[in-house]
Amino acid sequence: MPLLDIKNLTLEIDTGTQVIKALDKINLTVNSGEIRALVGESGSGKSLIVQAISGATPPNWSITADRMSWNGNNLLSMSEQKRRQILRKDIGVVFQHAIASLDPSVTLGEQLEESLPDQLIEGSWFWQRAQSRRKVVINTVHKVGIKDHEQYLRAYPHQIPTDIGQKLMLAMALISQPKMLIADDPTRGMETTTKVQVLKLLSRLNQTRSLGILFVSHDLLAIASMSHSMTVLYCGQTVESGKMKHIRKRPLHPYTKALMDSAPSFSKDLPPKSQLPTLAGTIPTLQHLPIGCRLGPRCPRAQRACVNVPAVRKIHDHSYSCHFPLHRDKV
Amino acid sequence: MTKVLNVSGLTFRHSSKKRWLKKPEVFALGPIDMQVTKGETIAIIGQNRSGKSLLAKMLAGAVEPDEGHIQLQEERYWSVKHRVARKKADITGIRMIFQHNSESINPGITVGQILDEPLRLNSSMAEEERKALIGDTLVKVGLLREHIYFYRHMLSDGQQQRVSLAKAILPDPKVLIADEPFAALDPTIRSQTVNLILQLQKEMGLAFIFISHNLGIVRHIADRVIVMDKGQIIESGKTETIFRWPQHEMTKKLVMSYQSLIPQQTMREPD
Amino acid sequence: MSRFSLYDDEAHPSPWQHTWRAFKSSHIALVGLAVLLLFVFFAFFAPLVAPYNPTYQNTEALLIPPSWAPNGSIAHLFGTDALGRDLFSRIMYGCRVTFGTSLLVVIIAMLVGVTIGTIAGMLSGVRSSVVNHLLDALMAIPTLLIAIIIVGILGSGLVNSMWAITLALIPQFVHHTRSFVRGEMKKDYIQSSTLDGASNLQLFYYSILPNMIEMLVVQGTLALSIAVIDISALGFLNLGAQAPLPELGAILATGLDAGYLAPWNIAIPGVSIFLMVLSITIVGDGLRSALRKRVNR
Repeated sequence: MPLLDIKNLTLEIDTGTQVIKALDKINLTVNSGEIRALVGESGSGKSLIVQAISGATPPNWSITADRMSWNGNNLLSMSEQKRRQILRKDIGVVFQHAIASLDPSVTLGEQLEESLPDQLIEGSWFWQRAQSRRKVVINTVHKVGIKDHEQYLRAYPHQIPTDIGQKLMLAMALISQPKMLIADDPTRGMETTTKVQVLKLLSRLNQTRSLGILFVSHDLLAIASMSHSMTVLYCGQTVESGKMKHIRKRPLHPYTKALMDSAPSFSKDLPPKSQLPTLAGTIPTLQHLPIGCRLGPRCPRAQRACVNVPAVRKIHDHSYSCHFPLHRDKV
Repeated sequence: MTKVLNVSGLTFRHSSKKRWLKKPEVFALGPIDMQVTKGETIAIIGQNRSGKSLLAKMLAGAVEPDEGHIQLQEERYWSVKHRVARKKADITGIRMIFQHNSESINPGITVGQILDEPLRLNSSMAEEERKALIGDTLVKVGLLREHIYFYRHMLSDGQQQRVSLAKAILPDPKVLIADEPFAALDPTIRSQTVNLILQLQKEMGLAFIFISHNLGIVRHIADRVIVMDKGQIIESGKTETIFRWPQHEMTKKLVMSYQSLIPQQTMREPD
Repeated sequence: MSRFSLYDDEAHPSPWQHTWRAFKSSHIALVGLAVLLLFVFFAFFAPLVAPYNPTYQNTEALLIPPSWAPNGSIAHLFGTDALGRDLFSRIMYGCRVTFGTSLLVVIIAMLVGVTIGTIAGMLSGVRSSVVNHLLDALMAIPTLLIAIIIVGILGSGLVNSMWAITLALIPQFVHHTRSFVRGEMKKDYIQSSTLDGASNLQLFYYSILPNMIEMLVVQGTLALSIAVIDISALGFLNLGAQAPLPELGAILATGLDAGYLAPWNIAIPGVSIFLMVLSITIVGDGLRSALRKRVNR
């Protein structure tokens, strides 16, 4: 049974003047022990999905889905409390620019200790609890690969380098021993060496603890090196989804191909200083979403049929929604 | 193979004037030597705090070096030893664009006014001439002439980056310096911007020096790569040479971590 | 289904129009603006509109109640005071004096304060910090107190009280301008303008001022409400406008004498001052939220 199962999630935002379909029939599954990449540029709705899962939605949003369940329990029909509990215990979240999401006036050790849920602490007297808190924190910090815990636990957020900061955010997310981790672009803006460290850490955690990871990003190099499967999002629509190696070998949707082309490292025989193959145009804003397949205005293969939203088709485990996918010539 | 930029002995030491109540900065950069030929693309890579941004700012004139000189084509552009002060805003020489963020373009004025500024301050062109040049430049970077009436908040990220680019190439400079120009952009917009810069290089013979962490883009568009660490150039050479046969420890580290991300090596099955 | 629009063209409003639209959306702010505009009208056109001369004493019409009371007459809309002067005309002229002088005071304080603040913000170094912190310390003292002290030195009278309040209002303009300019100078686009060769003055006029106008308008309305209160207070304490000059605070003070017999002589000037300050505050508040909405788009 998949950990997170979302089928046909639609999110409508009522702005007073119009109703915008920010997310249009999104499908997403994360299995236990699987690293799924959620790929999309700005405006694709990646952060909206994270918000919809967490339930912290403003009143003018309306969420409908055929299925949106966590471990079998329907998230939509759950009470506020139960949902918050799940978020606290079972799902950990890591954001971009770790250091900015930490309290700048409190040392890191204190913040980590604060985020411990009570169940994991043993001892009945308060000094026992304080000791056990400290022990759990040190353990988790070691697990994320920081050996010199004394120095860093005593430091303040502005004094630590970025990679340590990101690892500490991971530690905070992992402290409640979640089953799944949502990583919202954790390697954004990082230099390569730091990025590799964080990614190695994530895959190690995934292997040793069978931790499911939902890796939201548009950094294709990072994703391609460690994800098992990928879901590609464009303007709130799922365009392709499947195993990483299948998609890399043979992308079926023109948008996926454009994304792959944007990283020159993926194409082996590109002459240096040549023009990169790109899609014309820009990403449409929420107010001006095209009807039907939202890539329509930009897609080089678009024809009349593209004014209707294409149905989801599957080839083995690889699903795509396009009227004129790449493995078939334009009719 | 005309040499368009010749830098020698460029140095920056900690703030020489110890101002009362101000801590002196302790970063030391240099001495830096480099040559750039016309139409060449040079990438500066290195870890954080290695001095890349400082070098870019010194080349562009935003920070005063303590020693050394910069020679642009034939003339002495800037020199401490010979007391040649930089011609106040010689804008046809070296221009710079910054990383895209919320502070790279003035939000309170229109695109037309933003682009008019370097011309208004430095040239004696009449207003119609300026307007014509601005319109032409906008078209060159892939925007419309009507965009002169737009404010910053009406443009997307990629378009804002294009406006910065237009402002930089407006006076037809010889060298363009960019500090992480592609970092904050989405992949498809990044490809468009890269293509635009390549095209402009071909059209204008522009030399392009840029700083980046994205080694994939570096490998694709750079002719030469300069690797910096702790304020020194530790290695420099042709792109392929650096990527295939890195010599210095730090270069090896950078190239190895980049290689480890390329998917050939690391494909695993979920358990 | 979104509304069908024939033209794909959309109007792209300038930052000003955006602010106005956000301001319009609050009904309270619009009501405040309407009342404020009424006062501005009085400030400029009182001599043309007032029914009587405010200093004309009609000895036959002493202490007539306002027109809505049973003994009142429509000839004197708000009644008369102990010397037979028509209250309505006095109020109109009073608004003219109070509001007019407050406006003048705020404009002068803004010009001086912005100049000092800009220079302080653009220069760096210890000297500017010292000056600024001195002025900041002045901000801790209530403006009315500073004004009273200055009036004590210069002597009473409307002009002296105007100078006093101007001086008391300058520090806050200096403070806000300085911190704004300082923040702007660090931004990338200012640095690139400097590289293009802009002098400090050109930087200020072309690059910083367009962004600063909004902040100035907000600070200006704040200062205006303080100025109105202080001028009326000084008038009430007989340190500012001297009789027979109609000024709302002074009218209030003279009304106190016959307070029990003719409460309208106190209530109506008081309500006018209250409405004036309220409308200025509401408009200032509306502007502030409109600006915040525009920034947080």
